[in-house]
Amino acid sequence: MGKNYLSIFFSISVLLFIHLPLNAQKMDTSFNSGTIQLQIHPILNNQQLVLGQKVFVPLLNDSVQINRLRFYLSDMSFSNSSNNQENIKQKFFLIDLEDSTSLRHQLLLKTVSQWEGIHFKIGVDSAVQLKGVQGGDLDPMHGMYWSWRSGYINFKCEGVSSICPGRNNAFMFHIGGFQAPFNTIQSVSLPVYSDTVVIEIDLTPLLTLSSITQNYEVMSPNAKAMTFANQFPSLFRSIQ
Amino acid sequence: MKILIIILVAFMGFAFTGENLMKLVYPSYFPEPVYAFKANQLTQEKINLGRMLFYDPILSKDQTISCANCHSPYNAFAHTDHALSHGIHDSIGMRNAPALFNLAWQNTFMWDGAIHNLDMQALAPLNHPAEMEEDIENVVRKLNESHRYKKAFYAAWGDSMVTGEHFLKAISQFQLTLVSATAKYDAVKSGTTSFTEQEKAGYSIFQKNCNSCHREPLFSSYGYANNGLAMDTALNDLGRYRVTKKDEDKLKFKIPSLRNLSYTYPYMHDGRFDKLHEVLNYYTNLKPGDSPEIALRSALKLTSKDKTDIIAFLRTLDDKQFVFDLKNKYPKKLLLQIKNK
Repeated sequence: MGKNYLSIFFSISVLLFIHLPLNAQKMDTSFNSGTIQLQIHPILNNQQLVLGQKVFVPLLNDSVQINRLRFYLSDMSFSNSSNNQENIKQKFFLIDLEDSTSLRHQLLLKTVSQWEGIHFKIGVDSAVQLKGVQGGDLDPMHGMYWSWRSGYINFKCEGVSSICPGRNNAFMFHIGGFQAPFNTIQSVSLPVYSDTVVIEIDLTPLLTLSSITQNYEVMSPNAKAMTFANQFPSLFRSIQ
Repeated sequence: MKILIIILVAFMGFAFTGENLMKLVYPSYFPEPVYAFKANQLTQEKINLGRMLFYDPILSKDQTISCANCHSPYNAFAHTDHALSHGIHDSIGMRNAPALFNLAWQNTFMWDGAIHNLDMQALAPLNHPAEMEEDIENVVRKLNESHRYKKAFYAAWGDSMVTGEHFLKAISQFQLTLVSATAKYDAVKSGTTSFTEQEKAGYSIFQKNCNSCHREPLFSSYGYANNGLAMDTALNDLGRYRVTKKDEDKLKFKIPSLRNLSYTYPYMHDGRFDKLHEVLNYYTNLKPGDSPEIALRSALKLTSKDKTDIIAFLRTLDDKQFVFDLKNKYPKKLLLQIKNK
């Protein structure tokens, strides 16, 4: 009997001991943090983007249905007011709207700090592009690698709109290319407001009359792809 | 002679995984390979897996076409008698299937250099609508459904889960072992035999006229050149321009190796010449301005004896031992086991 009491007492004290430092850390400030919850929220015309669902886009005077949205985020880092920067260990994130787990990531930083900025690239850098086949998020089986030529597709958006003259009214924006003059990788820096970083990506500016009725099939590194890529940074914002 | 025979030699000892690491062996007069072996170290199990995959039509959409359909071991892994590649549903492609050997010494692949790493090359024919018409996600799914393949992947990678990465690396491994360095030329190079008078004469004409592009000992610089061939208007193939979109790359194609020519006819990117004599006649009939390449500013000046001598020399680059090497042919044991289960 006495032995049991002892072991219960011992367990409770161990639990308390583990628990205390965690609580202490949380009490510092609301977001002085070494752990960041990253959430990616794709939107279209001010609504949460749902694959396969029609959304009316006033600029096109037509509804648009997005069927696929995948892109790479890479080289993510955080910075604070004293200009310290820390890189996230995972170098590449494949964001795929079909896979809800890819839209939420818990990021662990070595430094506990009041982070002020998040920095990342959209796409896969040339150093990796020139290497042999990679695994994980970069495995070519994720449909983000071209087959007719070498290179990752940095950003893939596919959908239908009745005004699109493509086969089955489908548009396909496969934006990639890592060699000059068509290096489509882009850098983004956004403010951080709390230890939950919510990043919105708004596809609305991509869906213009010219993209849907003229440049509806972009599948090579070329000038059209560059026009798309140059727009990417402005699609991202972090929300408070 | 034995020492010079190119074989794969087991590396001393075992790696921590228990893998039997292998090393690619090649003659001392070959340059260093350019393939990054560090990221994909050869092992017998991985080579075996790659060989199974290379010969298995499971890679194509309707399970009819394997890599070996257009890259037959008996044709030095080209497709003899087919000017253009021949794929799924009897589709005819746009280019002549190239011979596969000495791939570890090449940085870019395909006639237009669209692929810049051997690991990624297999994706092109796999996906091409006139070749295998399949996609890698589906191949990975099919392989994951095969008990035998799961076993073979486990033996190779210590993980029975098939991934695109492991699939492509295994195919690279088998192809990397396709080293052609046992032709008569190689025996002469290593001093175990000598050229005939005619071959010797051909060699010296070759060195003066051909060696700048078809550089020894691989017999290609593996660069790109416009040799002046008029574009076939049924194909409208602009070659490397398709990839780079640079005007100066119009009609440039990858310079092929001259090893194994007896096994790999017809010649050129569109297979337009059946005989080596036709090829030589083409170069002696060139008009100034046909080709922008310095070496081809004017026609080659060769007598008919010169041509016969060159061809005699080129025959010394036929590597019979490579073409009939048992370790490269259809892996009956490995594949038939799979079919039965």
